[in-house]
Amino acid sequence: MFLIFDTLNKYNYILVFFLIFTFLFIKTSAQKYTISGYIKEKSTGEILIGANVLVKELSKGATTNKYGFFSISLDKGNYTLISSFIGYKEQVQTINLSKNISLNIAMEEQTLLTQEVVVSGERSDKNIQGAEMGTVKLQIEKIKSLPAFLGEVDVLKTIQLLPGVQSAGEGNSGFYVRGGGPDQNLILLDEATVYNAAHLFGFFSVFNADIIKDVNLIKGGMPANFGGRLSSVVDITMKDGNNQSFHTEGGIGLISSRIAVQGPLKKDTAAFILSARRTYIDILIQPFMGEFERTRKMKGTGYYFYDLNAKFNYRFSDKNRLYVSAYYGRDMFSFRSPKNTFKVYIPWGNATTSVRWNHLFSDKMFMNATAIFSDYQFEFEAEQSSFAFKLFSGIRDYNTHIDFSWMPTIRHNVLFGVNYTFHTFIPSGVSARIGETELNTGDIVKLYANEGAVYISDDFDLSDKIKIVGGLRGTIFQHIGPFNRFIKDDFGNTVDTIFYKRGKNIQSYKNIEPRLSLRYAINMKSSVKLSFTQNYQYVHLASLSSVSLPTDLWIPSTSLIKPQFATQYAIGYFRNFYDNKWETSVEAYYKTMKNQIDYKEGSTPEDGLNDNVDYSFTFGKGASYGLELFVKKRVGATTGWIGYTLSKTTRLFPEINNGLEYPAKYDRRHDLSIIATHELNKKWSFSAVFVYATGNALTLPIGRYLIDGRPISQYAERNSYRMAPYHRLDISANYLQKKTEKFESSWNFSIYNVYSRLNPYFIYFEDEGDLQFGNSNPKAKQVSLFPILPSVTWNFKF
Amino acid sequence: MKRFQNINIKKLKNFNLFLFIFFIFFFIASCEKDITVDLPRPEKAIVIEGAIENGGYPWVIITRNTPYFEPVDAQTVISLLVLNAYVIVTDGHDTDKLTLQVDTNLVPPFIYKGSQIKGEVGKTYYLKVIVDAKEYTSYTTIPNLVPLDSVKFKPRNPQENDTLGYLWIYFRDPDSIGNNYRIFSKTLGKDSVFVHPFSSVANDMLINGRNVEYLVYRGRNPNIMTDPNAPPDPSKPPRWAFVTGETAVIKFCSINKTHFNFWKSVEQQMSSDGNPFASPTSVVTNIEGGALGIWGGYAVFLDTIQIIK
Repeated sequence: MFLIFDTLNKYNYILVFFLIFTFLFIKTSAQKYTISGYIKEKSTGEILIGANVLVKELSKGATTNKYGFFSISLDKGNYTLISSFIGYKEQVQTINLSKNISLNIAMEEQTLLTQEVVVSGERSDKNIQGAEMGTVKLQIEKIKSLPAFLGEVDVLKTIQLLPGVQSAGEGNSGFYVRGGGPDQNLILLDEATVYNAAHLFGFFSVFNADIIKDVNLIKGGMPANFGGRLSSVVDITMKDGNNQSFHTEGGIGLISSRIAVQGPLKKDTAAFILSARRTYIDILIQPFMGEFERTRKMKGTGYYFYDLNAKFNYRFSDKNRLYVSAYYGRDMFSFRSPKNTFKVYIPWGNATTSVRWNHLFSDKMFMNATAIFSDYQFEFEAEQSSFAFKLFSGIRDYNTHIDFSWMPTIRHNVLFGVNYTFHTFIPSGVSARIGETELNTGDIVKLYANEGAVYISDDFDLSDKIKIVGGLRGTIFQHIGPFNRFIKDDFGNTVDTIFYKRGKNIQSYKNIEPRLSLRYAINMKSSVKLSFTQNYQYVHLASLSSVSLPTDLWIPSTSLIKPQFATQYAIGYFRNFYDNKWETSVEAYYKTMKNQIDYKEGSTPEDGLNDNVDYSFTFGKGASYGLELFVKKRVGATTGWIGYTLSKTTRLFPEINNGLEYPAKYDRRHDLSIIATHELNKKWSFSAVFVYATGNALTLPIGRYLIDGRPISQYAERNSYRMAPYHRLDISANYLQKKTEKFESSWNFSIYNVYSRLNPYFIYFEDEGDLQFGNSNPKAKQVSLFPILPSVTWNFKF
Repeated sequence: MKRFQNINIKKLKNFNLFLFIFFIFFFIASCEKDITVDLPRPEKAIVIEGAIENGGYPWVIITRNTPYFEPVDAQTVISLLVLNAYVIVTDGHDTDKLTLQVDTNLVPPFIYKGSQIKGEVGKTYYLKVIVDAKEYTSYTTIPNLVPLDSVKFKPRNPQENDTLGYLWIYFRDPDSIGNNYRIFSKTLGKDSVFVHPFSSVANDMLINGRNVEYLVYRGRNPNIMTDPNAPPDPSKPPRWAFVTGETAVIKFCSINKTHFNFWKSVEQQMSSDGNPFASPTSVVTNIEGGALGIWGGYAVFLDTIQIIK
């Protein structure tokens, strides 16, 4: 830690200057008093994130932070306080403020679902009044009512339906934000980084919707308290656990089952929640296999995954609270050929743990100290006759941060903090043997790095019209020893090796990242927002293929791999209609990205063996610009949204495509999502999702020639071909069979791809003849993954 | 003795198998259909494939490229041949004009062969080809020769009295880094030409200065039409293995870096072509003037093994 402060010296000046500047701006007068406290849900004791507290007289207010805390400092006087949270009954309190008040608010759920929410004083114009841009909060209950692919509710797939966010492909939970790569999304589960958020080929994400309380997506205008990624933050918060009574909930679906148990360990003080999910494709598939496969000959072939979540929280007092949360998930694939001549065993998955301590220094100063462990591992074991080999790769982080929020007056919300992470990367390790002989495959190469950050940000009202969120983030990254650097000659041959000792600084990077968002309120119903952000990213995901696979490698910045750097400009117009029932927005963005990496042409994963992994890469830059339209109906029996994105994303690599600019593989000109939910009555609700996207970019061969009596393909320019457009309609019906205090039973019926559109997943070529014998006629074949797929899930709660 | 790490590296190709298996698994619900893709035509190009070995005359095969989806039948394949080229090879001192000859071991059976210059270890050879008034040039060297210590046959399953097995070659890689190899084999009485295993090139990045043991699979002669749907014929040699009773000649070649890079890119394309998840590999060339292909030198070491149990 101290090391970071040392090396950040010159940046410290800027930060200190900024700090002083901020403090000067904050006029604190002695007569101010503070109302502060937590907002929670009455029946479960779950704290509510992003709940609003409005001071009616001032038309100003505060929002609860990640831990449900709010603080408002006002002059002495009488005030009306309105607390609201969507889906909950509004609470109104009159307060005579003549001393500091601690106020804990318990909100009750809105039970009459079909009736329109009365919007008397509710501050539902947050999208207009807030300065943040490109930030979307998703309600988990809404996500659950949408059609689910094979019955599996997936938050990451819902995120893809938002403008500016693109799906990575058919049935895929991977996503691209504003032209950024899949590694440029910071996915956090209770503040712990999840490095690979996907199960098997991305068809499912690792997040079990039952245990999720809150999902927040930041796709632009990233505030200074987040960093380390260029494109987006997906901040997922797990439920804390019911501190009032014990409950069990779960579901039985087509391919998996889930169960979650929660309850108080000590009422109002300590609570826990545990959840588990496991797929049973491997078990279900058994009856469909032939007699041959079912007998012992193919035994041991199968695939499944599971996710385990656990969280515990303890409230020592209003001033101190402890949270411990953990996630462990594994994918397990095994294959055995008949007669056991060939065996494969492939486990992979994430593990995270975070311990957090909330402390209130005063009613204006909130602190959260966090220690995080985060780990992703991939293993591949194969055995063929007497030959066996094992390959593994992974990344492990030890991360700690301390974050403060300081709310000196109602006009300011200041965040500052420090962060330190120790990374261990294993790009690839191999061990192998023939018979009893171990093969020398070189040492397992591990790469170590320190990453640190200090930040400050202030969200303040300059005037009634202008609100500013300004922040600075100073970051440092060091690639440290032990490390062997192989020195190459002009032909790429190793001529020397330099050994760096443990802890020795090999290469360090220091940067300042400014973040600025500005809102100008035209009136109560419309505003214009601007944002400018610069981000650095010190970790990189090297992907050999066009889909995200568990084999993708995470690697640090080294002396050869420079940190990724992005600058993003955005402008938006926000307008609400009909008492804020309808929200609309238009956002335009322009983003440039430097030091993007890709494998050199013709690279293979084995190139990294006995060599420095960073020699396999080539570097270039990228740019993306686009226009995003968003229309949302947020209340009423029928709700939903339409998101449309018009965008262009390009890449320019001197060593790829002969140095010519080419479309990124996730360049998508048009991207449209329409989502509608209708609540018919208390028992039935219906949803539909329609998506349309420009086809994926692809590199196809255009010519052939003979070498060595075999046909060689001549490729066209990189990504110059487009597959057919992607479109699909999903529908679902939710039936609430029974709901009492004691027991709840509900059904979700979903149909994926209603009109069975054969969307292209990939294209391949087949030629049954041979070029040199003059009987060749290559054909292109398009493979589509999922036709119409109905599913049903039964959910229960008691 | 250190084993050649390339053995297990080759097994990494199982990666593709792993993807493949995964997909079988999920393709239960998938669908496939023929589509027409509208692709631009490639620029017309000459393809030159030529080589010179120590002790041998240079040879060059010249063809043309064709659009990917254009069917090629017995008639149109003739239009791919270049039979009117002017081809010369020089070593800086002497010049050899190569003449068009018919070689029935090849399909198509046309080859330009030299008759003046024989390849020598350590020398550089310059190629010049003129087709339709356009000139294409290249040069290559025959590097220093690395000899084999021995060749051995090992049955696949020694316990089961297996008559099938693979050849293992033994050699010592020179101390200096930068040695590149290409391997061929020829079974006497069965193969008309030298054939190479699927993966035929290696460099000394992992094995510099070591004693090396390397596995050689049987290669396939591309000049013989094979029907993948034909039933197995016990009278024909197996696809991958050698059989006891055969006599095999191993041709162990040292090649330079550019020559290695070419074959490496060819083999990478062979293994990634058709894999929709791999990024495509372009095959490199060392021919100047806009042609495709390779002009390469081989330092050849031959060793013969009579395969007995």
